[in-house]
Amino acid sequence: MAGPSPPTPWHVTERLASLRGEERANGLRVLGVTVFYAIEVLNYRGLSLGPLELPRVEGVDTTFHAAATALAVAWMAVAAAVLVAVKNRIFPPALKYLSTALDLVLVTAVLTLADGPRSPMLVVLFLVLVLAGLRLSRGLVLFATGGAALGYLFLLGDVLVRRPELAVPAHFQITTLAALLLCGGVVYAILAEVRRAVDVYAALERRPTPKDEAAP
Amino acid sequence: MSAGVRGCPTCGSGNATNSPRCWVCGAVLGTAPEHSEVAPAILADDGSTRALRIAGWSALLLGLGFTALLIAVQLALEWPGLLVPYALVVLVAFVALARTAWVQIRRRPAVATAAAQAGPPRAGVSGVDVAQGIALGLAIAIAVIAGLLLLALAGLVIFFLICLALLGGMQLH
Repeated sequence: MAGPSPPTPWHVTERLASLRGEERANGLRVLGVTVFYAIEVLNYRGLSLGPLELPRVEGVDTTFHAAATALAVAWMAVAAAVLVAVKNRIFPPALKYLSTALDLVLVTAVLTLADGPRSPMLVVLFLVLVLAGLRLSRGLVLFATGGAALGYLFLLGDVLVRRPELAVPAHFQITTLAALLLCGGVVYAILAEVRRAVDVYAALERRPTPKDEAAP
Repeated sequence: MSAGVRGCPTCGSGNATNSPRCWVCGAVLGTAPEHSEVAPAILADDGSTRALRIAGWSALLLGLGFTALLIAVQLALEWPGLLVPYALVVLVAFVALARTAWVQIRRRPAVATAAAQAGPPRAGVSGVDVAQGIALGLAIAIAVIAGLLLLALAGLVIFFLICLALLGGMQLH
C-alpha cells in the first residue's frame, strides 16, 4: 500500500517562509506595541527633562489611558503566545490567520478609541497588510485585505453614529479604502510572481544539463 | 542532555526531536525515510548561530520586558489593585518564554545526513532543559519583583524622612 505522497516543493517552501514570516512579524509586533504604548504614556503624562519638554496632550484622559493600557496588555499577551508557539514549532496553518485577525481587531479597537479615521494610527492597517505578505501566503493576503477594509468601514460607521465631528470627507474615505485594496492587490501580485519564479526555477533545475546527456 | 533538531525523512525540514509529526508535511517522525534523497541542510535548520539566537531572544525579551514594566508602572500609579493579577499573567508568560528561549539557545545543529536521519531517534528536550528554563524565568521574575519592592521601600523611606524634616521645621517655627 502506497504511503502518503510527499509534499510539493512549493508546499515546503511556503510553510518554511510562513514560519520565518510569522517570527519576523511577531518581532515587529512587539516593537510596534512598545513604541506606540510608550508614545501614549508620554502623551498622557507629558515629559519634562530640562530642555526636553513634551507637554501633556489634550484629550488623552484617564479613560483613554486605561483602554490603551488594556489593549497593550492584550497585544503583548498575543505576541508572547505566538512567540512560544512558533519557537516550539506549534504552527498550524490557521495560526497566521488568527494572529492577523487579532492584529486587525486590536488596531481597529485602538483607532476606535482614538480619532477614528482621522487618527495617524490608520497607517498601521497598511502595516498589517504588508506583514501578511511576509508569510508568503496569498490566502492570508486576501484575508488581511478584506479584514483591513472591513475595519476601516467599521471606523467610518462608528464616527457616523457616535462621533459625527470626527467624520472625514467622502473623497478621503474612498481614497483610503481604494489604497487599502490596492496595497493588498500589489502584495498579492508580488506573491504570485514569487510563486511563478519558484516554479520556473524548479523546472529549469529539473532540465537535464548537456553533461548529463553526454553520460552513457 | 541538550535539545536537538531532527530532519524530517519525507521533506527534510527541522523538527524538535520529541515531535511525533513533522510540522511542515505532517509525516510521522521516527520511522524509516520513505524517500532516499538527502534534503538540503537549509530545510533542516534555519542556519542561525548560537550568538544570533541569543541576540534575537535578548531583543525580543527586552522589548517585551520593557513594555511589561511600563504597563506595571502605569498600573501602580493609576490602578494599584490590578497589579496582583497583572503580575500573575506576566509571571506565567515570562516563565514560558524563558523556558522556550533556554531550550532554543541550547539547541544543537540540525541532523543533515541520510544516515543520521535513518538512525534511531534521539531523546528530545529533556526534563533538565525544561526545569532549567523554568528556573531561569522564575529567577528573573523574582529578581524584578524584588527590585520593584526595594524601589517602593526606598520611596517610602524617603517620603517618611521628608515628612519628618517638614514636621521638625514646623515645630521650630
